[in-house]
Amino acid sequence: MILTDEEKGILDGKNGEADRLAMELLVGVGESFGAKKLISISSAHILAHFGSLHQAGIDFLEKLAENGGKCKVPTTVDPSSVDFERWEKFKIPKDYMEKQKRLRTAVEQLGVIPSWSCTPYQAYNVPRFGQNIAWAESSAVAYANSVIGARTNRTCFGLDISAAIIGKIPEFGLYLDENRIGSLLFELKIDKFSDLDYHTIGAIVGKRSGAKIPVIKGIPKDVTNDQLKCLGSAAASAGAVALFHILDVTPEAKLKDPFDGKKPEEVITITQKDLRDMENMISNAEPNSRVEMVTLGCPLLSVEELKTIFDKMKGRKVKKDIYFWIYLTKETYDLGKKLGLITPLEKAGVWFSTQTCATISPVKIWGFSHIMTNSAKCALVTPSEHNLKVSYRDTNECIVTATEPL
Amino acid sequence: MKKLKEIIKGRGVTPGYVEGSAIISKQAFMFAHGVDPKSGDVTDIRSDILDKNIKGKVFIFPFGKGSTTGSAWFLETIREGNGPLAIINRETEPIIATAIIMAKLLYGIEIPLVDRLEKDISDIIKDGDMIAVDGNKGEVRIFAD
Repeated sequence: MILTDEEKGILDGKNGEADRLAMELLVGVGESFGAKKLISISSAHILAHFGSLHQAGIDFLEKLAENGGKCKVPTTVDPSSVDFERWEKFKIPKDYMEKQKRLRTAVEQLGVIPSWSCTPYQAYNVPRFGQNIAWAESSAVAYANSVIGARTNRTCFGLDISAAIIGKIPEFGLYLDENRIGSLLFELKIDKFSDLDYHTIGAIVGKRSGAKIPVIKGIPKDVTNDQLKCLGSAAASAGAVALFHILDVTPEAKLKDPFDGKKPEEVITITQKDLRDMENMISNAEPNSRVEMVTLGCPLLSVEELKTIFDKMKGRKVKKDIYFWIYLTKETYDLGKKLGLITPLEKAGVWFSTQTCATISPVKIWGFSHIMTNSAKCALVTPSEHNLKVSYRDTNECIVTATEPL
Repeated sequence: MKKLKEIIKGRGVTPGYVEGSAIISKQAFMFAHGVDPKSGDVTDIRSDILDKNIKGKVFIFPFGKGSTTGSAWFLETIREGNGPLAIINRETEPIIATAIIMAKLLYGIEIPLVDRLEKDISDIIKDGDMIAVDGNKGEVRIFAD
């Protein structure tokens, strides 16, 4: 890799120990993956939830913070493993909470915007088309690359904060034009799309694509940003999709042929039946076993999604023998409260939780054996995380399962 | 004494030289929820080496997969003293390389990583065979029984 004099200076410790460590990691990874140089980034998004980072993650972030590391570019942080305000209500053990607090202190010292959200592109960290960024969080990576046309790899823990501190990332993978060309074509033969269908389409595309770049044909032009958010989150967790193109919808596919003049390696048709089959595959619970908890908000809810849930909840309350947990950003919660969407639902028995989610918090301690969700990502990840069974259903069925008429 | 049977050339990604017994997975491997850092046991229910242990072994698998938190899971496994002695991939990925470089920076632990071998080593050796991994030269040595 060819480094500038300034970069070599950082590697020699001219900017202090934190920058030196971050630079060593960037250069080490860059050399491993054939990067020719480091490129500037306009923003970063990092991981700091204790559930996955463990003590080793604390060690690394604290080392950078104690040695004076500071983010050089706007940097947001993915959800925490606990709700900082409601952790006692959610039965989080005190020592677990202390670990998450250490991570919070470290990221705040490093100058990270404490957003604790998996949807940074909806607030505080909105990239422009073509900008190079270094983001972690697979669903946000899929959204930024695909829907916005910014450029990032699936930046892993360690590399994410190092890029934020230096303001640079090795140039490889999706930063290069030639690696953004589609190879598989998915043709949708579907007339009417429900919200759940976007998750399910994402899951099918993710499973069939692995790490290849899918191109999707047949998504309505009026698809919402939230629906694309859900599609991307499912594709990223069912496979390793970091970038997808949608004909007539996503920017790179609008500007040029996403196959760059070549024929797709394979054309895959998705029918209504394929959606139902995938729904059944994602659910792994016995159909008649009792649901103990219903959860919505993976990815974290936007205000629009909260409005939809509020409308469907009118005249209903949560059943006595079931928990109904809804996850959203702190900002969505506060805005929703101003709109009068929060208090009535809380009175009806809904537990809201902010800056965390069911997938990455220690839900295991509740001992649930069967939960229900309207998110393919949550349904795909949660069983191995929390050792439980999942039913994957649309928002209506989730609400009908969790609630009863007043 | 060990008798050298074969040297297979590849690419050294991270430095170091070790000799140890092999554990082989033929599938892409995920560290996030795929390994228990407290023991080194493989916990991914879909893995072909489920319930086997990677601690102190030369761990051979084709590719990495899974969440970008994998580098933290792998780093924690190394911190707990349950990491592999070395890694051989067909084509490695940033999650794995990042964790190994962080382990050196934070804990001074060196794990050689070699990939792009001239031939598929998982066809030549089996679990428990003694091999040497040289991350400096980018090669693997197989010994006769």
